[in-house]
Amino acid sequence: MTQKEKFLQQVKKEDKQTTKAIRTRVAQRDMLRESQNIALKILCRLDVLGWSQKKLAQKMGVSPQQISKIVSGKENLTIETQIRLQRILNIPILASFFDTYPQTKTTRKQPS
Amino acid sequence: MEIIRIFGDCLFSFHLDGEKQNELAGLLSKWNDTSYLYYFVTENLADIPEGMSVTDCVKMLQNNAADLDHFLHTIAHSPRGDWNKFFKPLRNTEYGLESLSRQKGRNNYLRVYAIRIDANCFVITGGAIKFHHLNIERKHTALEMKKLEKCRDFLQSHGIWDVNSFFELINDAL
Repeated sequence: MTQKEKFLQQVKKEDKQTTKAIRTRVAQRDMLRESQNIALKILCRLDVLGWSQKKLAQKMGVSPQQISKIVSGKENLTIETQIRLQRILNIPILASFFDTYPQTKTTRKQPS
Repeated sequence: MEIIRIFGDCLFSFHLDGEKQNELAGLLSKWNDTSYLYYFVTENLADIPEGMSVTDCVKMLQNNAADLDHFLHTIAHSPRGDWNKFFKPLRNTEYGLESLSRQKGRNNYLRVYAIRIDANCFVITGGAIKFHHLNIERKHTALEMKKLEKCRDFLQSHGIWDVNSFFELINDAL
């Protein structure tokens, strides 16, 4: 029996968390992409405003750890959280953001 | 320093002392973390591709990480699990494979570093985001090269030069 065969018979110790994490990310890719886009918008906005994550946490009334999770782009954010981020940072996250924009009047051409 | 089995008898990863996760898990976790990527890019602005904004660069790295996840998932679930498709010699000048060859797996700007034990057997030692040509020119890539050498020294100090001696070490650790 080769050392490799011995190894295959005896190995029980395996890190299943790494493969599980990969499998989960692949399965949740669409959700993660949206979460990452929101996280990136927040990070850019914080830079523009000169705010720390701690200040955003205070404004949101949540813990700095919660903000840290949000900006990691790994969280499945509730609509309520998205609305609060949108309102406090004044950035478009939900489509409703654009509903508050002044509508441009369009004139319909009369048929001749 | 420990060696952790990741995929079957083909892919292993070092778990360095004092680290929460093994090297592969740690890399993938960082590369899928938007805040990590954002601060990495802003700290390495001089290195990002010319004409690319911070936002576009972060989005590109996010896509690279997603592609890497998908690629690893696909290889791991293919019947043969051919990791040779992913890993290539680190140095383009390496003709013929050295014992404990230094290897790299890449997806655009992401690099996964490993040591080749056998035809389809690799141990991951770390990885880096590499915008620049040479590894020694940036602190974070130079650090990864040091880790690669440290891990290689560890294997050598345990008398591992080929696949049989590597599995002997794994058996001894169980």
